[in-house]
Formats: sequence, structure tokens, C-alpha cells
Amino acid sequence: MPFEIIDANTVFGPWPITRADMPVERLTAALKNHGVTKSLAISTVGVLHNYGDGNAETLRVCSEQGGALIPIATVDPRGYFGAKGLAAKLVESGFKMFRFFPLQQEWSLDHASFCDLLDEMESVSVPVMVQARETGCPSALQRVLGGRNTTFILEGISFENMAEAVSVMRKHKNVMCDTRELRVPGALRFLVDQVGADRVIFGSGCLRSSLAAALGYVMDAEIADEAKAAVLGGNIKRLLGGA
Amino acid sequence: MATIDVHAEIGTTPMWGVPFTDANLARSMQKYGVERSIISSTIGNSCDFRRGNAQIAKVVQSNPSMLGCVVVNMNYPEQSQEEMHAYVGSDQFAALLLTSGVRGRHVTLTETEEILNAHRRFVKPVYLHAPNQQAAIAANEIAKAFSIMKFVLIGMGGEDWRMATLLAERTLNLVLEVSGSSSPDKIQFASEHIGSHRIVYGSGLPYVDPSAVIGLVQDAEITDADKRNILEGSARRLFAWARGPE
Repeated sequence: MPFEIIDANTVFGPWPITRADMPVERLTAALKNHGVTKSLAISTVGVLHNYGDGNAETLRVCSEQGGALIPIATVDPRGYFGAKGLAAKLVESGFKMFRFFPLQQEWSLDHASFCDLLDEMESVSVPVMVQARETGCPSALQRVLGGRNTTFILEGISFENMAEAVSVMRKHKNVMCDTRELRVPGALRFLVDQVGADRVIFGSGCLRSSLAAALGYVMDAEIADEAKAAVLGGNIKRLLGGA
Repeated sequence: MATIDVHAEIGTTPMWGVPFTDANLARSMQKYGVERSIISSTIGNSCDFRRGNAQIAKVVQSNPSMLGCVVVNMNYPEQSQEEMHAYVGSDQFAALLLTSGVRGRHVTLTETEEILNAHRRFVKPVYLHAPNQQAAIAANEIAKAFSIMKFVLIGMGGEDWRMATLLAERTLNLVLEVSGSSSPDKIQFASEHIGSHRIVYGSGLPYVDPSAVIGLVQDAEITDADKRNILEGSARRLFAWARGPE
């Protein structure tokens, strides 16, 4: 069964921390080589420098790729002073999702400005992806979820914090997770059994992580084709209103 | 008394994204009597050294009172060397800044040896961020291995300025740049131990207001001649510049 594949977790741009070759051309080539129709993409400039410059770069670069890349916005709460309407403006300018990088940027999920931002997000119907690859991250997110309707995607759930993620996802129907850090045999099947295939989204982390490895893991998972179709593209498409 | 600022950055700031342009820097220089500034780019320091160097190359071309500092990243030795060949030989660039690519993480001898070997031919000072004791110790190791070059410890060890000063007392090719800790004693201590001729003024703009660092120097219990050295003379010697505007 052929699947429509949408990668919800891709990045491009400079990477000073370790040696890495991450031009956007490499990302689009990887997507093409692996039959990925579209990806949600963000420039590392917004993560590592500042979100104003980064969002501008994301929007510009994505617009030059003929629809293959869907632009994702980010805001660093350490530089957010409660500008009203920021989320709405970003959505109006073409961003389809927000991503947050608390581990990379070293702030906690109960950061007051982040909570202000989440309040702001309630007015726009776009999903929010949050770095959650360490133990404690899903629980920390849960503490700021109360009463919010935004859809949250836990990014980077692994064997280490899957029980924690599942616990949060059971209690909060608006929480989903991506597949980026899933490596353990059977983990995806287990996750699907626990929370349902409609709560798991394919994300590779490409260009920081191998698209081939992430895709191979999902393709080889012992889950039904319908579940695979949902994970690989159906769920994110639904979240984005048809992508 | 003219002042030389050996360490300022221009561009949008990380996190906040506030623009600090060459025009902003020029106004600040005028306000504080800074005759010349050595600048790098905020984005060059935070995430993209090549983009940053290209930005600075344009700025220094149109601002004779500003000279560039080429930023290189130890994780990218080949690209760093390309940047060095493109800019360091130019009269518009005065120094090389070696970075680790991660804020707060210092560079090490092992990881920078290749770049520094390539820099031997340029005879221009090398800047190393030294915000703490570990960074100062690592910088000292680098300076000892490349004794022919001058190394400027940006931030002079932060709160560990005593340690940085003692290292510089033994390693004669280390120069201390005074931004960093606001301790009222560090300038006097460093002047007594290594001499004001090996201490230089850097504003740390746009993250530190020049008034703070200049005030630290002016308030230090050292002679006026020492203050002149720190604010101007030491930099002139370090970069082999003639006195007064060229």
C-alpha cells in the first residue's frame, strides 16, 4: 500500500554546535529521495539566534521550494514581551505550526513568558510542537496544559520517557507525539496500542537525524496499514486542515 | 584621551532580536570617545560564522573607524580556513575570534590546532572567549602551544579573573580584555601582576553598556598612565597601530 508521507519535523540552516551540512537543498533532496511529499520545516537561525530573523528566513526559504516545505514558526520565550497578536500575525503570514525548543534554549516549560505565549496560541488553530526528549519533559508540559485547547505534539519521545508521555496523553486528548526518537523494536506498535494511531505523527528530525532511519522504522513497524497511513501523513494533514 | 574598543558586536541580538547596527555603534563610539572599534557579527557569534563575516566585511568597508574580527568555528576547520584566507589578510580585519559554536563552551587546543596552524602566517591576534576558569585554563594551554601568537582573553576569566591574571603572568603572549566580571579590584590586580600594557578595553557591546566597563577602568586604583594604556595604548601596541587617526 503506497503511503502519503509528510515529515512533521525537519530543519535546515547553520549548525555551529557540531559539524553538520544542513543547506535546504540537502533537505529537499532527502525528501525527494525517500518519497516524502512535504515536510514542516524551520530554520535553525530561529532556534540558535533569534526568532525574528529565523522566522523571516524560514518563510523566505520555504516559499522558494515550490510547496515542498511548509513553514514552521518559533518564538523564544526569553525574548517574548507579550506582544499582542504575535501568534495571529505569524499564522497570517503563512506559518502552519509553532515549535518550541526549551532544551536547546535552556528554559523551563513553566516559564512565565511561555505560558503567556500559550495563552496567545489559543486564539489561533495551529498545532504546537515542543521538545520533550528528556525524562520529565512530558510531565512538565502537563503542568501548563490545564484548560488549553491547542494541540501539542511532544517531540522526541523515546523509550526513556514513553511511559510518562503515554500517561500525559491519556489524560489530555490534545497531546500527541512524534516518532523522531523511536528506535526500540516494537516501540511504535506499543505506542499505537496505548494511545491510538491517530495520536502519533511521523517526524524524522532531518537534517539533524536520518530521514531514511526514521522512515524505515515506521515502515517496518508491525502496525496495520491504516495506522501507518495515519502516522505517516494522515494525522498531520488533519491537524493542518488538509496540508 | 582616545579609546580603542577591541571587542564589540553588531547585528540583531540573540533571543530578543533587537537590532544593533553600525550606526548605533558609531553613535556609541562618539558618545564615549572611541576612536576605533573591532567588531564581529552577532549572528556570526551565535550560529553562522560565514554569514556573520560577510556582513562585517560590508560594514568595515563603509566605516573606516571600524575594523573586523573574523569569527571561525572549531567544528568547521576547513570552512574556517577559507574564511581566514578570505578576510584575515585584509587591512580591514584586525583579529581572529575562535569559537566553539556553543555559548558558554570554550575552545580547546586539540580542537583548534589545525585552525591555529593555518593562522600562523597572518600575525594577527587571536581572541578566545574566557568567561570562567576552565576557559582561561584551556586558553592558556593554547597560548603556550602557539607562543608566537598573541591571544586575547575576552572577559578575562569572568569571576575567575585572579586565575586568568595569574595564568597571564606566566604565559607572556596572553592579553586580558576587561569586559566580564564587574569586580572593582580586578583592574588593579591585573595591572600589578602583568602590567597595563597587556590589558585592553573591550566594551562587550551590545550586551554590556560601555559606561560600565569604562567606569571600571576609570575607577581602578591605578595610575592615569595605566588607564591610558588599557583604554588605548595597549591596543595600539597589540595591533601595531600608529598613534592618532590614520
